[in-house]
Amino acid sequence: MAKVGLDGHDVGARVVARGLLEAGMEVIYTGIRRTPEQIARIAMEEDVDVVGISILSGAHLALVPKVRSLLDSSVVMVVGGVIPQEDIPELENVGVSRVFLSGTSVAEIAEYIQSAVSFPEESNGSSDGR
Amino acid sequence: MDLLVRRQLASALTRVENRSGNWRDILRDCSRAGSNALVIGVTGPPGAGKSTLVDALAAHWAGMGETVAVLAIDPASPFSGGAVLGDRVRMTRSEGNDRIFIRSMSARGHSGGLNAAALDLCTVMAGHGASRILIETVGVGQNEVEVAFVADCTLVVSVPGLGDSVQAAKAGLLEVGDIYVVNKGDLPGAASVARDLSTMLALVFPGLPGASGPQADRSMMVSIPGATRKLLSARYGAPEDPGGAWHPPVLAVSALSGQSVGELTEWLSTFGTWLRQSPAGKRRRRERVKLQLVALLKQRLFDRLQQDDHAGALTDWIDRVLSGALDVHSATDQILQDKGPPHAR
Amino acid sequence: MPDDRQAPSPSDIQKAHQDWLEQLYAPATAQTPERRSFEVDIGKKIEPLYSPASLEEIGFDHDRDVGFPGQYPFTRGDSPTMYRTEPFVVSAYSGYGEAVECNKRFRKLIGLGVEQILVAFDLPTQCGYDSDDLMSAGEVGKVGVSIDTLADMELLFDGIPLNSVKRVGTLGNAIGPIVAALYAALGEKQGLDYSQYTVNLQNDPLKEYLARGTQIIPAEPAARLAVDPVVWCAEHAPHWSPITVCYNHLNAGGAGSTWGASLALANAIHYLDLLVARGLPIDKVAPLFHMFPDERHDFFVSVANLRALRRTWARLLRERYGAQATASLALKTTVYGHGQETLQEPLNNIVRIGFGTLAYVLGGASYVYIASYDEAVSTPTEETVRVAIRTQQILAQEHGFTDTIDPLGGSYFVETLTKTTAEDMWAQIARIDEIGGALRVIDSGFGREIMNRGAQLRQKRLDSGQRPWVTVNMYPEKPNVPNTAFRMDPSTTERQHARTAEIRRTRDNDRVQRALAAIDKACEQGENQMPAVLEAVRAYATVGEICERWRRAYGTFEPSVAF
Ligand SMILES: Nc1nc2c(ncn2[C@@H]2O[C@H](COP(=O)(O)OP(=O)(O)OP(=O)(O)O)[C@@H](O)[C@H]2O)c(=O)[nH]1
Ligand SMILES: [Mg+2]
Repeated sequence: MAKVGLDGHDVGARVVARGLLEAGMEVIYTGIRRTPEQIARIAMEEDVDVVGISILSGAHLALVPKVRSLLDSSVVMVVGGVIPQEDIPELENVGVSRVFLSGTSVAEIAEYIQSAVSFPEESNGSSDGR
Repeated sequence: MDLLVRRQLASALTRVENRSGNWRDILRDCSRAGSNALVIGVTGPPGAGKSTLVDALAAHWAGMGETVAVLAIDPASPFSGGAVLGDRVRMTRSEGNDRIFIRSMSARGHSGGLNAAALDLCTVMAGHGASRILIETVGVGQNEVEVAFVADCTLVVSVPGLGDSVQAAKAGLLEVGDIYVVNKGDLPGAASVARDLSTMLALVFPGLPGASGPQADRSMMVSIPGATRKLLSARYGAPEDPGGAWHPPVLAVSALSGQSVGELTEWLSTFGTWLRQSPAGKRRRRERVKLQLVALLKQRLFDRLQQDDHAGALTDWIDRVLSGALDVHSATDQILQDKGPPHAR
Repeated sequence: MPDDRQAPSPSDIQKAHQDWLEQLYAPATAQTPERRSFEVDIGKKIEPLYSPASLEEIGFDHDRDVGFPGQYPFTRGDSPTMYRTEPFVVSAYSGYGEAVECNKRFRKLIGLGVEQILVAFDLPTQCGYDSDDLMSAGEVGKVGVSIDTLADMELLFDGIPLNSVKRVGTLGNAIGPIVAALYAALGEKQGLDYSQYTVNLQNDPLKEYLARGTQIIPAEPAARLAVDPVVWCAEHAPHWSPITVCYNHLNAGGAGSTWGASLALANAIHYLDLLVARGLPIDKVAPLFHMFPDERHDFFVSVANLRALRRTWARLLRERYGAQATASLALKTTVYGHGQETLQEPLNNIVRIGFGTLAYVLGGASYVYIASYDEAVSTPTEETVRVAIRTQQILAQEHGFTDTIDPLGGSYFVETLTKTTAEDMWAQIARIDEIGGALRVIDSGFGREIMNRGAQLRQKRLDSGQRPWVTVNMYPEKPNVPNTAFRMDPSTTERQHARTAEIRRTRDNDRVQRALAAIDKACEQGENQMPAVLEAVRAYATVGEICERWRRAYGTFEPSVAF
C-alpha cells in the first residue's frame, strides 16, 4: 500500500490497509511521499503480490504509469483515489488492473484482491497470503 | 548486493517463508554456503525506536562496506491473521542503500513457529551475501522474546518514561539481553533509566560491563537460585571460562540523531569477540540447532496427527477417553507407541 | 432512586421529562421501534428529547456557561455586535496552475464580491520543493498554484493591491516564515505599508504530522519556525493573523470534532508556550491566534463545537496564561464549509455544503470559505466556485440567518451539546498534558491511535449503513468522476520551469547566497528566522532553496506509521 508523490492525505490508505488486515492479508505500508523508484524497490524486496497506490492529488497520470513500468510484470497493480472517468482506460492501458474510486467499500477491494491473486501450490504448510 | 541477487533473495525468502516451490533446495544451498554472518536481534516495547535503531546500525555498517540484511517482524492480528507491516517506514537512512536489504515479516502463520521461520530466513539472507543481519521484533509475548535465542547477539531496547525498566524485567527481557540500549537518549530521563538498568544487572552479573575474567568483583551480586544461576552461566559464561563471563553493558543512545550509535557498534564487536572465544558461544549455537529441531519435530508430529484426525483416526481415541476407558495421558502414550518416532513412517 | 452520594431529589421538570419518556415515548417505540440508533459522528448517543430537565441535569448555569456576546466566556460570540454590523467575511480558497492564469481567476472572484483571498499553493510549494525538483514531478500546479519565488507572487497579485480586499492569506503550514515573508515582500513591492493590509496564515505545522502530511522537518523545530512569524508580526504587523490553529484535517482524519479541537488546542498551547518562553507578554501574542474548527457530519454538533471552542479557548487563556485582554480571550475562527460530499451526483453537494456552512454561521464563525461542489473531484472550475461564493452570500444575507446573534443559544439540545463538549475538551487537554503535550501526542502515537480508531469506526458505520449517506449507502448510485472536471494545461509545468530558471539566472545571486547563509546562521544560533528569510525572499531565493537550508539544519520529516 503506497502513497506516491507529495500527497499527504493518507486516511484512505490507512483505512484500506487496516481493512485488508482484517481480511487476513499482510500489508506493507510505505508511508507518505514516496517516489516511484522507492515503491518499486520496496515491492521487489518484499516480493509482494499486489501494489496498491492511493493518490488524491490529481497527479495520477504522471506518477502511476511510472510506478507500473518499474514493477515486475507479475505484480498486480490497483489504484485508489479520485480518478476521472476518462483517465481510467488510460491507467488500465498501462497495466493497472483495477481503479477504485474514493468511497469504495473495503470489502469490495479485499474481494477483488483475493480474486486477482493466484497463490502457488505449496509443498507443505499453509500460505499466509503474502 | 546487485539487482539480480536482490531479486533472487526476495523471491527465495518468499518461498522459504511460505514453504513453497523449491524451498528445501534453497535452504540446503544456503546452509551449505556456510555463514559468518552476525545475527543481531533487536527487541523491546512498542515504539521504543527499534526500527530507527536498526536503521542507524544498518546504515552505519553499510557505510563500512558490510552487506546488511534486515528482517523486521511485526505482530499479526490474532483474529484475522493479517498484519500491517510498517517498520521499514522508519528505515529511511537504509532504504535504497545498495548494501542493505530490508524484508518485513508477520509474526503469525509460520508452521513450525516464528523462531524456526526467522532462522530459515536468516540462513537465506546469509546465503545471499549478508554479513550482518538485524532482526527486529516487538518484545511482547513469549514468541517474540524467544527470537532472542535465534540471534547471536540480542539488543534489548528500552526508553525513558512509562517505567520501562520494570516492564523489561516483567517481560523476561532482563534474562536475554546481551547489550541493553536505552534509546531516545536525547530525551530527559534516559540517563536515569540507564542507571537503573545498570544497577539491576550488577546484582546478577560479576565484574564490570563487558567480558570479565576470574578476578571479577562479585561483591554486588545477590544470591540467585541455583537453577537460574546455571541458566545464566550457560548463556553468559563463567568468569573462569576462556574469554570470561559476559556482563551485559547498558548504553544510552539516540537512534534518531545517531548519537552513541558508533559506540554501540564497538560494543557489538567486543561482544562478537567474546562470543567466539567463550564456550557459551558454542553452547548457544547448539541450543539454537536444538531449538530448531524440537520445533520442527513438534510441527511434523502435529501435522501428522492432524492429517490422521481428518481421516477420523483420532475419533476412536476420543471416544475411549470420553467413555472413561482411558485417561488422555494414557491415550497419548498409546498413540505414540502406535506411531513410533515420527521418522518411522 | 436511593443513592448514598445523596443525589438531589429530582425536580418537577425532571420528573415530567422522565414520565414522558416512560409513559409516552417508551410504549410508542415498543410498538414502532426507533428506525436506527442515534449518535453523533464519533461520540455520544443522542437523546430523543432535550428539555429544561437536560440542562438541570448537567448543571447548566447561564452566566458561567454562556454569558453575553463579546463577554467572557464568549460562548455566544467573539464580539458584542457579531453579524449585526458585518456578516462573516466571505472568502475563497483558490489556486491552480501558474500565477498568471490564477491571477485572472482572482480578479473574477473579487468581482463576485469575495472579501478574502486565500491562495491554494500546489503540493511542491507546500512541501518546500521547487517546481523543477525531482520530487515535484507530476504535481506542479495540481492542487494549487505553483510558487517558486516572489516573482510568482507578483504575477499572482498583478493588478490586485493587497489592500483591495479585507484579507489575503494562505495555508503554508510547513513554510510559515516563507509565506509570511512572501506577503511582506509583496506588500513592499506594491508600495504598501504592512499596516495597510491584513495577512492571514494557517502556519500550523504540528497537525501535519497527524494528518494532511506536508511536513518538511521534524516537529520540534517546525513548531519553533512557526512561531517566528508570530513574534515578527507582534512587532511589525500586530493586526495580521500569522497563525490559525486548525483541526479540519484532524477531524477528517478520524479524530472527530471534539478530540480534533483538543488536539488542536494542545498544539496551540505548544506554540503559546514557546512564545511565552521567548519573553513575550501573553496579551501581545494571543490576539494574533485564530482557530480553524471543523465538523461536517452533524449540524447541531457543529454549532455547539464552535461555541464550546470559543468558551474553552477563553478559559484556557485566562486560567492557564493569565490573559486579560478581550482580544486574547475572544477567539476568532476561520471555517471551511463542508458536508459529506460524494462523487455520486455531485450537484447534491451544494445542499450538503450549504447546510454544513449554515451550521458554522449559526455557531458564529468569523471568516468563512466553503468547498465547491466538485471539490471532492478536482480543482474547482469557475462555475462551481461561483456557486460556492453565492452560497456564502445567500447565507449571509437571505433567510434571516444572521439577523440576531447566536440564534440557537438557549436551545436545550444545543446548550447541552455545548456544555458537554466544552467539558470533554477540557478533560482531553488535561489528558494530553499528562502524556507530555503536543509533541508527545505526535511521537508516542497517541494522536494517531485516536484518529485511526475514529477513521475505522466511521468506515464501519458507513459500510454497515448505520450512518446513512444518500447515493452511497442509501439509494446507491455508481461513483463517477466526470470528465468535465477541471484540467490543467499540460504546458504549465514547462512554463513554470522556464520562468524560475530565468529568475535564477537574472537575480543577484551573491545577494541570494548571502541571504541563504544568514538562514544557516539563524538555524545554528536558534534566532528568529524572519529577518533572514525575508531578505532571501526579497532577493528572489526560491522556496526550495530556503527549505533545503532547513532540511540540512534540522533533518527531514518523520513519517508516521502507527495503525
Ligand atoms: N526523540 C527520539 N525519538 C526517537 C528515537 N528513536 C526513535 N524515535 C521515535 O520513536 C518513535 C517510534 O520509533 P520506531 O523506530 O518506529 O519504534 P519501534 O520500536 O520500531 O516501534 P514498533 O515497531 O511500532 O514497536 C518514532 O516517532 C521515532 O522517530 C530517538 O533516539 N530519539
Ligand atoms: Mg518498528
